[in-house]
Amino acid sequence: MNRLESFMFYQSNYKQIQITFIRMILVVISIMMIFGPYHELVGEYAKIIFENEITPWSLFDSIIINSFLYNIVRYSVFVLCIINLVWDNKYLLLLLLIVFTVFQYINYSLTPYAWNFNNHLIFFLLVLSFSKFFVETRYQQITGSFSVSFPLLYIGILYFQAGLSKLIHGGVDWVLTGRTLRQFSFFLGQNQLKFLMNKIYVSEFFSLLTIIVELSVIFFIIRPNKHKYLAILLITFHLSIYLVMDISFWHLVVFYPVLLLNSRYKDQTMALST
Amino acid sequence: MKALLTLFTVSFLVIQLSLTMLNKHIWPFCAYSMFNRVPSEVMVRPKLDLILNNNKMVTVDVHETLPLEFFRAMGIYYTVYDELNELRKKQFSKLILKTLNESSWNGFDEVYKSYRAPGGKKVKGFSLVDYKIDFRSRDREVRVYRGDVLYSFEDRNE
Repeated sequence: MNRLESFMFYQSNYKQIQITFIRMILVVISIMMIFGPYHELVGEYAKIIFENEITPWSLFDSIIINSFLYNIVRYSVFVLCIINLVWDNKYLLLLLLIVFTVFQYINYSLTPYAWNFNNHLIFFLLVLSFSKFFVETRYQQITGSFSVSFPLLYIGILYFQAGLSKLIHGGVDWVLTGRTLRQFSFFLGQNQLKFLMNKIYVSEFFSLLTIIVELSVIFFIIRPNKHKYLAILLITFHLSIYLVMDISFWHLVVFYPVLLLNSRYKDQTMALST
Repeated sequence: MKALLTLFTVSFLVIQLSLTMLNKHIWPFCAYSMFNRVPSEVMVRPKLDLILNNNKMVTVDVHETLPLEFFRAMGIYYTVYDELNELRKKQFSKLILKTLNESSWNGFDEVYKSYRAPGGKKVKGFSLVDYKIDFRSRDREVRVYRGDVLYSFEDRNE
């Protein structure tokens, strides 16, 4: 319990990382806005899919079929990102959180059955905005630390969920056949390296490795002295996936240098005595 | 404050792990169930057989025709052509042709770059076809078969 408590509430260098963290999130969001999947054509397609199915309380669906409203939300996020990059203000950050959450929901509502890959940004922004309201109060240490430890915990749980999901819903066959990696590499890979997966023993080996990595991340996360090894492991892991499947998971990986190469916490008793 | 934040964290963990067990997403919570199934050795994938205005046919993946992540593009195709009425199917098909002929986008992460017809040619129609991809052969060669045609559309004006 002491280890967990120290991890969550006594991260020792949160101030420096907090600022970097804010900037990183905003930059990531800005890039997604400009170059990412949120294309103006989303509204055109949504009009066909949602037309006549709009109910009075589905405000968000109404926005997605109206290109004007959709673009207002879209560009508001962009403008708020830019403002927050240059102006560190808790109310503006809260506003960004609200508008970004609305925007995310609008995009999610287009294909609600599909996994929404960047939900972590909402939660990271949420804890960061929350902690901003306690700067220079007696809760500053706890909330500031939490704004770093929660994203770390989120990352650990995310991988654990991914590994657990494969074991529960794919079963041991997921590992023993290596079929998922082999077949999806064939569909999604854009370069010749994807054919490495066509060898059955390679796809079996990497399937086993995937499960081991995904389930073990959480145990490294709560041990800050292992974080630099974890950073190397995860970046190598994602680089491998990128080379064979062309999926980078960049929207999460960009946080690793900031979160994993800076994280350490004070001994709890020392923190309390100061 | 510690109690509040601990409660938040525990609630978050319980919801996330429950969704993983149930294989469900309840926005903004997520099961992180990517690639969690073992696919059949003969997989069915929808593709578009595009008809160009010189009557040549080109086969492309559906995610080359929509500016969305590949997994969402496929879902939208199935939603439109499985669930919507004929009028909506036609509207959607026209929009696909308009997109292919007038818009283009570069690939970005899980959004694949758009298909562009070579030499300024236009796409005048398409068939949505379930292709069967067979991974069973002993020589590890992947064989692709053209399966059922799910929907066909042609714009007479092109």
